[in-house]
Amino acid sequence: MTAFIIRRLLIAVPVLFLASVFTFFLVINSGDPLENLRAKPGISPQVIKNEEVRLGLDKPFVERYTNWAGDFVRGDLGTDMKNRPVWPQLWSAIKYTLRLVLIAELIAISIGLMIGIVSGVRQYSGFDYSTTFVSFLFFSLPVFWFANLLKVFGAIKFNDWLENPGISLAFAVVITAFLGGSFYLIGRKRERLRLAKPGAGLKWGGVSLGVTALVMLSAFFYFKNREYGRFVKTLGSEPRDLSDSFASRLWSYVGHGVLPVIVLFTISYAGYSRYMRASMLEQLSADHVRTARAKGLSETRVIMRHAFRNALIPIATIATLSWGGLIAGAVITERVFAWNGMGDFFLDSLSNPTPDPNRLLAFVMITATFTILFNIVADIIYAVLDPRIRLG
Amino acid sequence: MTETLLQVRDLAVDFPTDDGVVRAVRGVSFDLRRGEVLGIVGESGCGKSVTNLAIMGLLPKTAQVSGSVRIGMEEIVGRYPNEMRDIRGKRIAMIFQDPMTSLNPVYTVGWQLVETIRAHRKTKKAEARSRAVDLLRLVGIPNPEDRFDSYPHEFSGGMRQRVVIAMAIANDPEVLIADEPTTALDVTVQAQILDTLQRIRRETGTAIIFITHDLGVLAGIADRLLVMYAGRVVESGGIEEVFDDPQMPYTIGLLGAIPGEDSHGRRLNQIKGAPPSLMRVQDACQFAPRCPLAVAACTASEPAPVAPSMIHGVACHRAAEIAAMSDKRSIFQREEVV
Amino acid sequence: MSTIVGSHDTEFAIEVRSQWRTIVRRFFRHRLAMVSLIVLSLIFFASIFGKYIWRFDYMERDTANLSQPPSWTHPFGTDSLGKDMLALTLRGAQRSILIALVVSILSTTIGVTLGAIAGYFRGWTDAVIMRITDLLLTIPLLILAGCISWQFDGGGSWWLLSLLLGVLSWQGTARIVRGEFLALREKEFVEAARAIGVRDRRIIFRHVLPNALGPIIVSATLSIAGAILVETALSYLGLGVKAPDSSLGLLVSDYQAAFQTRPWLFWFPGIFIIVICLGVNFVGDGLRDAFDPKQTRVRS
Repeated sequence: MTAFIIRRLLIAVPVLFLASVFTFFLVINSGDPLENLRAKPGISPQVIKNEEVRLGLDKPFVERYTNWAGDFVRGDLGTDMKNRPVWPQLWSAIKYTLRLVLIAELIAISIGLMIGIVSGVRQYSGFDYSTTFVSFLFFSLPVFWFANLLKVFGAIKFNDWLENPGISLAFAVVITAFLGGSFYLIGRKRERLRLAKPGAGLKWGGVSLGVTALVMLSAFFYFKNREYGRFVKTLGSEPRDLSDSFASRLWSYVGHGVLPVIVLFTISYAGYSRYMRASMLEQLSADHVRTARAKGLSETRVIMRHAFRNALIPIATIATLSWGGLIAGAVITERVFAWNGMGDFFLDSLSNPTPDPNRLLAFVMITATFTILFNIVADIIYAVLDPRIRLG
Repeated sequence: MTETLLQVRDLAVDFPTDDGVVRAVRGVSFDLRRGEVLGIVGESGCGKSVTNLAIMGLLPKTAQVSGSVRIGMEEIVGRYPNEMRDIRGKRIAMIFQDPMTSLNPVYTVGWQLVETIRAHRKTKKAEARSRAVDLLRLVGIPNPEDRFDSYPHEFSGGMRQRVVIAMAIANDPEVLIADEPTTALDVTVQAQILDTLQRIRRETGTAIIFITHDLGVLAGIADRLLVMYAGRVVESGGIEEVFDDPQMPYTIGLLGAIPGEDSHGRRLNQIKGAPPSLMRVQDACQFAPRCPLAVAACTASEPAPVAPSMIHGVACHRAAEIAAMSDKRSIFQREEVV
Repeated sequence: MSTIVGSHDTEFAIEVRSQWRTIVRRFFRHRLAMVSLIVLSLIFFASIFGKYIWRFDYMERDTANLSQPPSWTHPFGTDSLGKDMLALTLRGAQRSILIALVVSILSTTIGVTLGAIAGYFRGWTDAVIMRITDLLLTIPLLILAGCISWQFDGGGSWWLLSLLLGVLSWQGTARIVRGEFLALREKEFVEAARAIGVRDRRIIFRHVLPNALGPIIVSATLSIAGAILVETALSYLGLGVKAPDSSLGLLVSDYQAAFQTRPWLFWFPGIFIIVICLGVNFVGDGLRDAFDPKQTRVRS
């Protein structure tokens, strides 16, 4: 295991090296960082000259690169255009983004896998068709547009409601009828498949009708004459007032994070659910699953211990692929919700007002490093899941 | 007559597809008696595997099964999957064709064996383990104690098939279905596996349905034989009767395709053409287009299916004439120019 | 030597349905894919010929109708300058679709070529190409493209952006094609071709490539949707298409502030992106089903 990790890290070195040369070349050629300074009236040539020396603009490409790379290897990411060290800024950005990305990813994996299993097992059912449609919708969703949409409906309108909560009677009736009706249909279906006792449809439908009616009725009275603050935040990444109690701060974190997490969730959920479905379908038609059935195992055991367990193996590689999409998604999401994460850091470095070479390089290198690390982690998970693979 | 374990009557399986209904099995009937080895032979796609998957209830949900399959007194057709659990693996077990894929690659063989045992018996893990080791020994795996914790990929094909057999006999099934258990193996390994199956039959008295497309394999092991073609049984009978006195041209052709002592220096017979599509089945003998003896009657109606009560049954309009022929093999002989 | 006489070849003639006809037939039966194809063609032609058919030009200001919600005259409403939103959306869609098509063609060409070379020749060629692929995969496309494209001058540079995105987004296709080639090169017909001395280039293009066409067509189709999303995102961030040129992403960015007061300005460009991508994805799905010989959809 250790040998494997060390070998993989060694392989990562040339990739990182190439990535850095590549980005260095890109960044160096992405415009003149001193454009604005030069345009300013009354700036003496000496000031510009000094800046050029400080930023190394007067030196040839190779020398600039080796200077930068030498610092990088020693863990020094240099200073930005305004002469502030890059690392502290980047580190605070990474914390925000990682928190956002990891939470969204965890939720996406758990829900995606669950939905994938069920739609694989119930291929071509109503459930399968609807989840497939949702996945395709998420695949086709422009992040920036969806984020803005959420901002209005998930935050502003929802907060309006929270300020003056209450549900109309019509709403309660519609929800009750809908839930009761769908449980009736589910019960009927299971009855027909002999998975439930006769009469299950009416029983389930009636019970859920009653329960929902009760919940709705109590909600109706509960929400009357109540008031909540504007809970869901549309801007910023954390509570401004840190003196509050732990619970209220935590609550505030949730309020800040919920919408960005939903946006990032939609980015990777679709991939997980689709791949899990495909992987499940493949396993369910595999010979060893037929053997498991022929052994007389229960269907649950066949699905979970045999089909699902094996279907997980290829999913490990998907997890790494979604990282790039998540970072790209985070760039957009953070812009819409004004988080000070890596996306913000990146966009800032690009055009503030001219590109900031050290910041950009630091950003790309960190992103690449994370990609490589996640790849290694995925390979380890892969090997843990599949005894046929031996690390070493 | 010994007790009938498994009774199949008018079993039919249809698969609806985009292009139409495939009638994979069309009215198959047979009996399996205690301790008997029944060979089922036929080309690929003749319905022999589908018949047995139907018995196990392992067909995909889209398959439409009709007719009757009884194990003892219990009817299997029409059961829902969760009602099949007490039968599968316990009363009827199955060995599949490809040992490379029929074991789960992520669990050790011991784990899979113990799982099989504990699916039907409430036993402690340690007990199940020792039973599993005994089973591995029974099927001829050397050092079963050590191999218990090996993964399937650490076994050779023949050894894996032994594991599959061990899993199949773990709960002393009354019926063991072996679906081409030797096809994917080397010839030498084939013989060992056949040996193992013979021994199991001797030691446990389980009845075996042995599916193959290789008549030669059956000669040493089967008591009775069913020949299937295009979803039907076209000839059935004791192994010697069928081998010595085949009466359906298709069987004659199959037998002629096996090299024998007298075939030295001669071209082996072959049945020309391919099996018919089971999509649009006409009321005619399905073998007629490939049959050198076909007459007008053969394309006018399909012969009555073979009844399981017959000692030697044939589904052929010209069975009587063929029975009287002296050199049956000559009907497939090719004219040769030397 | 013996020869067989009296063999009736006609006996062996089984009705073989041509492979392509089967594929087309399977695709036509995929109802969602067919609907998507129709909708996509409608949007495509409307966006290209829209300016000749539609009564308003995207630059034209209908000063009598400022900030109007959707109506018969202006089905998508107007903005605060009186510009017709339908004309603007069609114009944006035209750019976005054009860019996506160029990106898809370019990335598929590069991806197929590199993937084929890597998968066919294996060895160090493969290693080099795959390392380049890995390298490009370590940096998200949006970041890479953003680094380069933000400095493009406004206007006329949509083709530069398409070129850039095309050159940077071939990795997925390359991997798929490489996988196909690795599998196909071991097949008997390739060995047979090699045995009779067919040259590598001919084997690649005439023998292997046609057999890998299914996955290539599918991935080319799906890459259109990916390209639209990346381009609109870049344009939204101000790193892609810039004014006075137009793109669906740019429109969303321009009008997002108006969401609360004039929602139609925000809804339509976004819905256009979704409909186009959804349509492309469904067509891709239909193609995948049609090409996949394992799939025979049976509904119980």
